[in-house]
Amino acid sequence: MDSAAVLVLAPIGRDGPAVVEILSRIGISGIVCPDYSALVERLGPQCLAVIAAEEGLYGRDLDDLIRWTKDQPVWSDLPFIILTSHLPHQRATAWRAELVSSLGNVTLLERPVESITLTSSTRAALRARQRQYELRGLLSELEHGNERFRLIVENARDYAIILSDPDDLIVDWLPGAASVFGWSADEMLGKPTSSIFTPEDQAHGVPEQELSRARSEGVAPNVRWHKTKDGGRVFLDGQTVALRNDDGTIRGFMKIGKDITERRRNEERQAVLTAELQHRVRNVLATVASLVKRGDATGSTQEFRERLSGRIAAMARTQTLLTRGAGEGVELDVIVRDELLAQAADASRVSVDGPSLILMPKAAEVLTLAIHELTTNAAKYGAIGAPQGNVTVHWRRQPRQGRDWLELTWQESGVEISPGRQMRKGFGTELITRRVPFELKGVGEMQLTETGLLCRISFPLQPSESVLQTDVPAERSEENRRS
Amino acid sequence: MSFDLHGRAVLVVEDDFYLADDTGQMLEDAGAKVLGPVSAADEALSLLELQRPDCAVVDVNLGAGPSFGLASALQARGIPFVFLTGYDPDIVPAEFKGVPCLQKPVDPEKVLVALSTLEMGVRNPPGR
Repeated sequence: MDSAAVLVLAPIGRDGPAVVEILSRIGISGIVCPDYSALVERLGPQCLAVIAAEEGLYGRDLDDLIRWTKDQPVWSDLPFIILTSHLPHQRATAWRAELVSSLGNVTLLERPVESITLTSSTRAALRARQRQYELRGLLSELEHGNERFRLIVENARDYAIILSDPDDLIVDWLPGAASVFGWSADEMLGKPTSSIFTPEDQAHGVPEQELSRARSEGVAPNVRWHKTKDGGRVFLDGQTVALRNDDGTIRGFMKIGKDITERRRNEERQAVLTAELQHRVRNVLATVASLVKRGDATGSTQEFRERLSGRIAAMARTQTLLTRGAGEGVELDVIVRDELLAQAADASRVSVDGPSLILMPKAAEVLTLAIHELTTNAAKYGAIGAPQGNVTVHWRRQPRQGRDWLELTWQESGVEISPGRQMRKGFGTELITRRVPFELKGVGEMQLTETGLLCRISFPLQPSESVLQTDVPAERSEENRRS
Repeated sequence: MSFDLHGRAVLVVEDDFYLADDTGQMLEDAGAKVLGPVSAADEALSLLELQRPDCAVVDVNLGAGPSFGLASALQARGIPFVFLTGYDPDIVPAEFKGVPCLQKPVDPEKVLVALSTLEMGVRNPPGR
């Protein structure tokens, strides 16, 4: 590629070299073109200006030159300096007029030309050309910037970006918005931006409040639930910005927001979990307080302490099992064996049998305590403590009135029951005969048979229930109340 | 300090047996006639069809997360009540703003104080 230079077309005599010589004195390099076609060949963006004597152009087919001039890039307007010749007057006038209008950026210098005239005109032309090059640079930067902007905007899929006009009708619905809301640009262009707000927010005038704040303060936060094409909800954390013209009038609005639905849902779930946990902790404390009050205070402090800590330990075991995972129940078999094991019952004198069955939290808690009490009593007064005693625990699932019931039987044998002996009516009895009906809507019975204690517990099984109610729907009205 | 709820019928709705029993016992000791205790909202509603308590003690969580259907029913019948809850009091919706809310574990005397406030008909003192 040629380096930047002024092209000189002066085919007759020494005019060409003379012009180049004059230019070189002021530090401008010139290239002499021997004829018109050589000039056309050398035209290009690097060309600073053209100095041409009329006689080099007159009578030629100038189509190529004119086409080149017209096809220049938007920033380019190559300066021509034409040195007039002594042409036949009448024809020359019309020809010149046409040449000037075709080439556009033309300066005519009448010969003979003083060298100061030539150098000053050339300098002016080069200054103008320099400006054109600067423009070229700016345009290219702008194009790069636009390209970068386009790439960012089109790839920011988690960010909804929406442009609207002064009446807030959507004029630009970028790919991020399409991906966050589900509607395509075709579906949304021309619609009011308020149509992405939830019906509740629309009814409360939230879209208008947001716009009016953006108008008065420039920016309005937009942190709330919005609706999506499939009827769902999406939580945006963003803002609405008022776009202004130079004179301060509103040109439109830009809404930009990040989709943080996932995070938001987690936060809400966390809040529900925390509240449930708090509720549970307080309930447990309240129950423990009640256990302390209910303890049989007729024996020694030592006895009282042992009984109480046994009950609290049984409750703690259920809690441990239940809080392994939210919504998980406990295997009945595990409850029964754990309690018997905890009191060191001799395995050979204990028989445990029943189908696999998962108990939901409430039932698990009650049964754990019930088995604990039965085991404690059996160790102290019944079959576990007696040398020939046996304990049989068995259960089954039984349909009653269209529901599955659990029927559990605790039967002790090999215990010598002295005639007329009354059953102790303590904590365990209350638990089985009163708490089972109250909390589990079931039946609990205890009686002393000739060989030992017989206890029957039955209650309807719950289809599902969870220790921490985590399946509370996330999209309740609270969201709107809080946001 | 003792509170006389003599002759008053108090409905107790609480799903924990021990807490329900304690509350019932305490109310009886104060002379009240206890309706229930019942452990579920539907049981309480059935009971309301047959008997009209003078006031009620209502647990916010009856086993399936916080619920306020029973509270609305009591309000509709003009029966004053107090809430008992293991949650923070701010879980109670605005429509029950004037209802006393006691947090578990609760001092039994506080329940009696709250109930006697209801009984004296100063449930919504001005500026509350």
